[in-house]
Amino acid sequence: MEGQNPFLTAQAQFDKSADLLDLPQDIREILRWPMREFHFRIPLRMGDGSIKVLQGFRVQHNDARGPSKGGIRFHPNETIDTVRALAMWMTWKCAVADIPLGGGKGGVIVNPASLTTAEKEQLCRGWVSQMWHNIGPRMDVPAPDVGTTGQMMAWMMDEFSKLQGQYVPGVFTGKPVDMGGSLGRTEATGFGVIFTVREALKHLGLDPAACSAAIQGFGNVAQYAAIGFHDMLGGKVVCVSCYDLKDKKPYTYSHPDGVDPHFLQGITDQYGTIDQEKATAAGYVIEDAGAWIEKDVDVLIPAALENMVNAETAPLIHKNVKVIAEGANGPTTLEGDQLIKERGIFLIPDFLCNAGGVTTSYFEGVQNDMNYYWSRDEVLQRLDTKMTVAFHGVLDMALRQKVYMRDAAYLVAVDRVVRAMQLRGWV
Amino acid sequence: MKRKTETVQKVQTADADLQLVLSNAIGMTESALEEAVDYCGRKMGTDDRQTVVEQLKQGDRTACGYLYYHLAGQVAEWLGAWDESIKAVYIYDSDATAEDVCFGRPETPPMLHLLIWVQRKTNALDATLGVLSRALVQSYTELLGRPGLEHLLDAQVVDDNEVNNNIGYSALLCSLHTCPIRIWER
Amino acid sequence: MVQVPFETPKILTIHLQIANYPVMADEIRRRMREELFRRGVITAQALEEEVRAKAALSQVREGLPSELREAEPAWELRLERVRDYLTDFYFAYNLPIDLFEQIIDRLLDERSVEKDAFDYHFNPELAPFDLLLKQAEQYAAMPLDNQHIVQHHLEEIMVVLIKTIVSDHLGFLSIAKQWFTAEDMRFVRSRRIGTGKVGGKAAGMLLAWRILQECAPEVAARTVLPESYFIGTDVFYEFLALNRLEYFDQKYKPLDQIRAEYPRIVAAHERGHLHPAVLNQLQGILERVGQKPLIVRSSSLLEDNFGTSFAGKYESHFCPNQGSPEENLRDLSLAIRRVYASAFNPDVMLYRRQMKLLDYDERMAILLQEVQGQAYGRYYFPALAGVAFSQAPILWHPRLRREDGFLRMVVGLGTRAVNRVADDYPRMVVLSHPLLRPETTTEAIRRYSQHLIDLIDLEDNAMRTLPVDRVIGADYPALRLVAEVEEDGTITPIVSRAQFAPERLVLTADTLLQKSDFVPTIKTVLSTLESQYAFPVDIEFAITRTPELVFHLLQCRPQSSMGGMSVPPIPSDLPEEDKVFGVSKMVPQGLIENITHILYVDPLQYSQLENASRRQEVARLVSQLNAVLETERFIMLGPGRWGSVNPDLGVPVSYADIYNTRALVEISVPQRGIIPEPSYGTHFFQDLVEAGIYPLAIYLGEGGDFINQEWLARAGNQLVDLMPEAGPYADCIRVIHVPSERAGHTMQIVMDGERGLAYTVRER
Repeated sequence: MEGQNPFLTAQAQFDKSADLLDLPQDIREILRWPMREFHFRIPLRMGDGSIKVLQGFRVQHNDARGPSKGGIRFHPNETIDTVRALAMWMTWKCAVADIPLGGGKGGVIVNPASLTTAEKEQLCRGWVSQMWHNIGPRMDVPAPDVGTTGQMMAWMMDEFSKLQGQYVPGVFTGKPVDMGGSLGRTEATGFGVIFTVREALKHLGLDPAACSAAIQGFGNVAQYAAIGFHDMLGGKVVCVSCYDLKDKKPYTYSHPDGVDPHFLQGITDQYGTIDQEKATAAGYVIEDAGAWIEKDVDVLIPAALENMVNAETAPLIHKNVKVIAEGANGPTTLEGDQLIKERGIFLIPDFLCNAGGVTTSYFEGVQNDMNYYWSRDEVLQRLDTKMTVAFHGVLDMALRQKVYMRDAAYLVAVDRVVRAMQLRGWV
Repeated sequence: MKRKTETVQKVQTADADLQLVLSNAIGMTESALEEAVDYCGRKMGTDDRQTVVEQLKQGDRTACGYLYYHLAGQVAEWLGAWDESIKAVYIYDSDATAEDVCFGRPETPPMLHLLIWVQRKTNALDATLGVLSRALVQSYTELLGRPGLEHLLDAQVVDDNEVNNNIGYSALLCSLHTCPIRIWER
Repeated sequence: MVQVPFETPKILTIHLQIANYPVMADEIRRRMREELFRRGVITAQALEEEVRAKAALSQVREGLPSELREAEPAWELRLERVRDYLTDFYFAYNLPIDLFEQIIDRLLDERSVEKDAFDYHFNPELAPFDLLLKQAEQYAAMPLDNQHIVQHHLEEIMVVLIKTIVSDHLGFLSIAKQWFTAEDMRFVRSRRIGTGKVGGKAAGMLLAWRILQECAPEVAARTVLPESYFIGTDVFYEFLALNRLEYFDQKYKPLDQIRAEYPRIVAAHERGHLHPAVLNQLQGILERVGQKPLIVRSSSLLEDNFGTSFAGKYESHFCPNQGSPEENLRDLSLAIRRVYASAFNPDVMLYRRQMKLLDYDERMAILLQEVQGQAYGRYYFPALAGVAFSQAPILWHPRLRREDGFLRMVVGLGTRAVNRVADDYPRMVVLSHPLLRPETTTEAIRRYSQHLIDLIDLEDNAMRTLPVDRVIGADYPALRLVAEVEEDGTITPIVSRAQFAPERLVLTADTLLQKSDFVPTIKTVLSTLESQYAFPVDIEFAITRTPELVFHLLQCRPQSSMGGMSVPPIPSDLPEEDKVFGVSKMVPQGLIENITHILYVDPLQYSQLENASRRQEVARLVSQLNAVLETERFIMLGPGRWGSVNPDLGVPVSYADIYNTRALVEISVPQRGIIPEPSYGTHFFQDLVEAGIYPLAIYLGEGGDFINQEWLARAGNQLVDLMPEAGPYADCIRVIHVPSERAGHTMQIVMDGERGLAYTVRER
């Protein structure tokens, strides 16, 4: 419920991992709380001349492994505990992906839709002028997140560079490609999902070409996951789900021979809606939105909304499903997770599965640093290497400690951070 | 077209009340859209209404975002006034993905993704939503000229039971990464 | 109308009666309570609980602020008074008044008998033990005001008691009499099988425990003494008589003969049998102990007394105690007989001869202890065990402080720390800098650490030595205290279960040393015991984790010392040709003058001997040379580890083969890429220390260590002159007579605690 404190939940999740690792109390105390928090107020001159003061945050949960990394969120319901929880989550995410970055998150309590473009720019610059001493390519590298955009990152980078007196593109990632952004990031998360799926199938001794997948969503991640599964693995994508403007509900689009994601992309209009007529004509079957989860497939990829695999829907998962790859953030509730665990389905947990995004953000910083930019293929090639290694790190842990993959991912992450702290002499 | 018919909501237009709802809704949606376009212009720093309309027609993301947000607020307010059982209305992001949500996302359709929290689900509310959806389409087409547009409203109704059990779309209310924004509450 | 309980007069009677006996009141009430308990009116425990509850209530009633209640100074007094009132109450309401009067009458009768209790009318030296014990207890129970009157009597009786039942060594007695109470003696007797003394080891343990309780109560509270039983010395003689073994009068025979006869003696002891009455009592102990493993330790009269150390000379045997009752008794009995046999061990005889203790009537008592440890899977062992010295016998860095003490410890049974072990290393700690070690590289730390664990295999009912990685798992409770892991060339503490990898474990105990209260605890123990003994001590200890850290004190004895002679500075202006060798690691302080002979086992020649039996022959020749050179001042210089059981690593001698040398110098020569580790005589370290033999090691190619090989090679070899039959080994063993090489010169070795230099010097 809304009343649930996300930070307490994150701490509880950490405590569980700490128990499994049997971490000593002093180390837990360091990791249960952010290392640094910045609370500041940003005065904003509004279009009508009035002054509005907005509350801003930046939380640097842990930077033992490297500069903090994490988005800046403009959201009216933002709370410090949400930011703390997300900063902690970023620490684990960067660690599990084995990129040399720590965890951070920031935010402003504001609804960006209520601000004019000029006000937004002013807010972005205001945020930087409050934080610029404490961010930077070697300290803390923010990125876009809910309510913020690549354009905003460009404004922020510009403000930071001005204050520094030099061009520092690496202080923010998620910038537009023309302004120091990385190629390949559009596909990064979706393809990253598929790299982990490929390794999971290999581990289970399954031939991807003989496997089928059901994908929830047809947004950015889902589209490239579908393309990846179809093109790279040669598997059959049984269905995707997407919104339909002809009705007030999302639908599942399936095809007896498997969907062709390129075809579907081709008949998706600028609003992201698949043309029903053309789809039907091509033999596609349109079903209820929830149908994706009940499909008789080998792989399920929830790649849209949070918490949609829950106590109500998890029991509907088909008995033949062998792998669940969490392309979305937090698609599974605690109850859903319990059911998956009991069923013994191989789970690729979200912060491993969709780490392609943050890995590409890291690549963006790397490219900014060396001032040399890779081709799309180079980026994706490196992403494959990174994701594959990350996956096996988690798999090894799961096998060695005989734990569930989600727990294993946390164990890998926490362990890596703890060792970094140990090596740096913090503990 | 093969479709699981039992899942498709049929609007019961026969009800006399609905005529009232419809006329009211069209009035509301027309003015709401007008206001939303104005709002959009204000936020984008232009007085030229035609420019705004053009941008909206082209699916400009920023423009659509403003329109979407303002329209959603008006619609929510109207719904709240119309149906006593509604406790709160949220907008949510239908395609929230990884933490870098902004990367290369296809243009968002000007769809109103609403999450409506009611005490109890009723047929009346379903019918109202159907009417509202059509009114929105009608007004939108008139204003922005989008023939063939059939729906603008994605309204997910959740009741107390679902919220308490964290199932259905109410599970979104516990989102950590992309929490729906509450735009109206009783 | 309020009804007055008809007993009211009774409680009043009791109260008024007791008021008549202000001094006897305590004893009267004690006996009243005894009656209450005996007759089942209330249990002692229930009464005590009620006393505490009522006392706490009375604090409230008396308005004592809550913050003061926890540690109220008058709490004991409060308890006492409440206890008395409750005693009166329960007695009055439950037992007849006649009984009360009987108690008083009986008490008065007893008092009349001991009217002149301040004196005794017997000679304590001749009085029966029980009488003495009772008398001592009476004195001890006297009101403090009167104690000074009887103090001299009490002291005399205590001395006699201690002499009779513990040990008659004067050095021991002078300290023990200050600490032991009649109660202690009663305890010893209650745990003793047979008659006679319980011996040095038992005595040391009890004395140390008593001292800690008095002088360091906070440490004593966290210290556990193993459940112990004693087999008196008379049982040993009884055993010899019963089995007709008295004819083994080894003491005054030549050493060779003692050595030759020893196996026969052991076999005879193993065949022998204990008196049925003793077996009966042992069975009783086994029943009490249950399935806990036992250790049978020698506790001879000579052992563990001032100025001598029989460390490791007499045997100890473990009884895993996991079999059937019959098997367990059989094993226990055999272990006892084997310990008895070790009294005739040639090493012991030699040591006694050297320490001039041969004429003493050495009798063997036995200390029977539950093994301190905890079950982990099928194994049973303590997290750590070892020996601790209040004065560090060796130092290897100027920062180290001798007086802070020293440890040698291992994971598992302490046998590996106390006894010699080949190619395995206990953790050595100088307590002033617990984490400082002589090794510097990760590789060396790992190599110089413990690789094998001695433990009791509960399933196999046997003692075993197993590799660390086969014993210690990720769930071992003390894992993080005793072990670290090697990661990428560094040794790091384990803080996360994911770091655990059996093959990379290194037993360093650094976490225990750094993060627990172990170091302060053991320092307090050592300093307390040393100051009360007025002499350096060493102790044996064990540590368990359940999950609190528990410190177990296993024994305590006076530590032998190197003798504090003054050391001249190392000369800095010597010509190179005068220098014979130099050492720089773990050098003690000391001076050896007038060395005439150097017994040099050439490392290269030794390594080229074709087989182990030829190396054994070298050891035999060394042993003979040790005898031949008995009257000379000489040193032994040889490859690798003197005393190793593996001839490849060093000359496989025992202490008995080298005891006449003044220094035992090990040359660490790289061979086949491996540098055999010098032992510093750790196999018989205590022997060396007490005999004043300095263990030294030359690490060739390190830290300025050197050896004047040219001079050694050039010097004449007197081997064949001394022992013509040793001819075939003349290449390998060289005996250099220093004055023959440089007329009028001898060699001397100066050791300043940091460096040592051997050089020739004109004889004075």
